[in-house]
Amino acid sequence: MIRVFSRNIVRFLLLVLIQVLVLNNIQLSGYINPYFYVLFVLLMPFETPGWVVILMGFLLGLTIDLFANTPGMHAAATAFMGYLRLFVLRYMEPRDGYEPGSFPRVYYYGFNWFLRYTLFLTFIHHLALFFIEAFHFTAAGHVLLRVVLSTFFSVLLIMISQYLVFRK
Amino acid sequence: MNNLIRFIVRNHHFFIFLIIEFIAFSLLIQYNQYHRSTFLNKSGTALSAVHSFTNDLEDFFYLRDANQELARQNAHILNTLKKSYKSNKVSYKEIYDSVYFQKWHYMVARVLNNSVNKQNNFLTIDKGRRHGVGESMGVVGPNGVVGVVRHTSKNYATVISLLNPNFSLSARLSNTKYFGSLQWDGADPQVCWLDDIPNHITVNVGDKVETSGYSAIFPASIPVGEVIEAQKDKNSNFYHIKVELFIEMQSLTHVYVIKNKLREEIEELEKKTQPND
Repeated sequence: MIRVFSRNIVRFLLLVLIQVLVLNNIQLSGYINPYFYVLFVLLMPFETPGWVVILMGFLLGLTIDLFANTPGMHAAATAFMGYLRLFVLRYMEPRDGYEPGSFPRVYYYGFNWFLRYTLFLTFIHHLALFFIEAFHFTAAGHVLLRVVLSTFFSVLLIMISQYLVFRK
Repeated sequence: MNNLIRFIVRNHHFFIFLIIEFIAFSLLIQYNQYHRSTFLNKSGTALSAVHSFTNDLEDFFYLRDANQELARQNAHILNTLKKSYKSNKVSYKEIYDSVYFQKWHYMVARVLNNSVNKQNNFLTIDKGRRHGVGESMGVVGPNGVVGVVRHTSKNYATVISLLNPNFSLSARLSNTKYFGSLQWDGADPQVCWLDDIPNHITVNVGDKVETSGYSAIFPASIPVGEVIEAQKDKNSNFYHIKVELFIEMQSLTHVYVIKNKLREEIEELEKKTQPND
């Protein structure tokens, strides 16, 4: 329990640093900006209470916001994602439930399951984030293009991380 | 209360989510210049839309009062229109001359009401006491006698038409100056009968009939009509003369009221001579 807790804290800090120091400085043709830090919300244990997921999403987003100087933007999007994670996990639950001691990773539930899980939640997060950033719907097509491209790269990074870092 | 708490506990994820999002959006709007201005702009538009809607609603409820106010203003404006005012102007031309004293005054009046097809016909004219119209004043039209003023009010007067059997006019033949009385028989509005002309004189068809001037009502020699038939009455020594009137009573619009400035003097004098009449 303590181990899980401390590992999550470390993961939180590492992901924030990677996002802020590396990924935020990568702007591919102005459209693509991968947001890798959502991995933290994706990897939180199944047993985490719902309110903790939402609150941690908010805090994570707020931390990113503090570095990006956009208070509230990432916080709102990530909290939204954390809220939806509760329903997504309930919907994607295997017939005999999540195994005790397992985590939402490729290692435990396979590539397909994790891809669908990641794809949906990352897309939701990016959708919320980019529309909050634009704050209007007049250029919805343009915003949507950014959402799709950025989601693709974020999901790509997350899937790669599953094979490089979180192999077990 | 218990139910409410149970409801909140059951949906606590949703409420936490709402609170968190509220905080996040507060931060967003508070600290991001772009989002702040957009938010203020949009919320201003929304607020003004709400305001204009409530204003419209309010206006709707005040329509009744507004209508009454408008109607009142309309009445006020109509009252200031020129056509609402009856002109009291009387064109009056008096010439002071020591040799020729002006005896007859003519005053123009508009015919407001008129009838020709009843037995007792009257007219109403738009001049009354305040314009100097008095009872028993003569009324003439553009080409002949119309009648005599019967009653007057402040602004109006009624006129006994020539086409009224109660009215008889002192008239004479213009060539021989013999006079009689002209009266309507209640039939043709264009025909009157002249009686009391002695039958020893010659009366021809086409002879002109005019006022005699023997009353204080009409001046002498105002045209009345012309003879179209002269019947000799076998039982008396007088003619029964059919006279076609010049005046067309149906199409009267303006008439002249004649005022005799010496009337009282004459009447007073005649009263002295005939005290019993």
